[in-house]
Amino acid sequence: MSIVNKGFVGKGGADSKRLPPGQSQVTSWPVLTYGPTPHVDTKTWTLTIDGAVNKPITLNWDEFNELAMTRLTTDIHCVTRWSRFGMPWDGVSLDDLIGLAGGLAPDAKFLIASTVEGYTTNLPVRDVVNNQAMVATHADGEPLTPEHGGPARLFIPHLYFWKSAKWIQRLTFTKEDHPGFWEVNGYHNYGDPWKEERYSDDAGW
Amino acid sequence: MSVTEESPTVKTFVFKTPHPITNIAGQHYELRLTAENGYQAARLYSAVVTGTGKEEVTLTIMNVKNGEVSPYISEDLKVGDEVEIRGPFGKFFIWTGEEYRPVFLVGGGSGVVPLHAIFTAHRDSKSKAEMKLLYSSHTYEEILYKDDFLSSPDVAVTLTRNAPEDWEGLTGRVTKDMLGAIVDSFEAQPICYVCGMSLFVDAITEALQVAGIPSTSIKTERFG
Repeated sequence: MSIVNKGFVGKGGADSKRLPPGQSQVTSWPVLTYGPTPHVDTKTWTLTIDGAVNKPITLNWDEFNELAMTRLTTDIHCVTRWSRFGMPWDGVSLDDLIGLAGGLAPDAKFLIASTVEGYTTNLPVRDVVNNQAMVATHADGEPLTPEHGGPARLFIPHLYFWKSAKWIQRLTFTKEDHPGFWEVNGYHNYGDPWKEERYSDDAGW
Repeated sequence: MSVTEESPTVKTFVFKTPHPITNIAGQHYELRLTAENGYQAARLYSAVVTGTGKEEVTLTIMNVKNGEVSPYISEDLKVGDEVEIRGPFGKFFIWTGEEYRPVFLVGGGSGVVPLHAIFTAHRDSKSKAEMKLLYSSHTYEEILYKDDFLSSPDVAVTLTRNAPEDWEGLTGRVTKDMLGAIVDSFEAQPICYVCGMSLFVDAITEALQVAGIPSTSIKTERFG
């Protein structure tokens, strides 16, 4: 049971201001994926944290599930113009995963997240530390289905939801930025819903 | 809860806790806010001191312009209010008396908070290893923990925006020379802890490597 902080409204403001510009609220959870849905077996599932970390590690499903879980109830915003409010998400904080990997090396400036089907997305390190990101296994109290990125997906709610890559497999910290799949295909490199950073400047849409 | 104003934008909060607190120097806590509609936001804040079993947590929080959590804590939270705090977290950017190597701490702005915990833990321990701190602050007014830092010969403060006329410390942004001189003043090569805004950490870690510190001897903590 959470303590309610009277007067706290958060980034979205009060209910009337909770929707970022150009978004509509949905109560269902639409599925948007490029390509077929992979079915990932938790018996063979692994998560690797490597690149500019001090002690790269690979965790299997059992090892991952022994880690402390954290829950965050928050809003998600898809670049296709829907937002869903107040979803509880459970997972392991990226701060904890970075800690398990011995901490970030000084050159860690970007995170390149890769999925089992080879999709990547890129994020500045400052957006994935300080409790802003997790590897999530549950939403609305239920295990994530394959359509929604199960068994585990990245979860970074303050950016458009394509950054929260489904079927996450590898978190690689790098010195240089490497724009990912959507980012080289016309979408914005950063993706702040509050600034409507939907498309890259040169997409010409 | 009690509140101390450190500077116009920074306050130190002592939160009473239901359990004794025993965090290690350098660890942090999660502070989580929940709106009446259920929306939550959580951020991590470094402990100001080592937890020694008292039923309290001390956090220094900077009121970040356009921030999501810190403006509410800094402006709206009143003595007597409850807030959700979890932790301590962090196994990497920490220091205990078992660390036998000399240590060079470099902090920018409120990045000095976990370094204060490490610095005072070292001061209050039996450790004979050297420890020095270089602290970059915009102005004299914004220097945190003046009582602990300004009287210590192991602390150098540089003021980057403006300095009082009678300021005898360093001025200007941290330079390679500034870092190199302190690195060279150690009897043996130190391990380094760097904390601050991301751009600050990038600049410092690059300069430390130029000064001969291998990247494996540099621990970083970034925010903003």
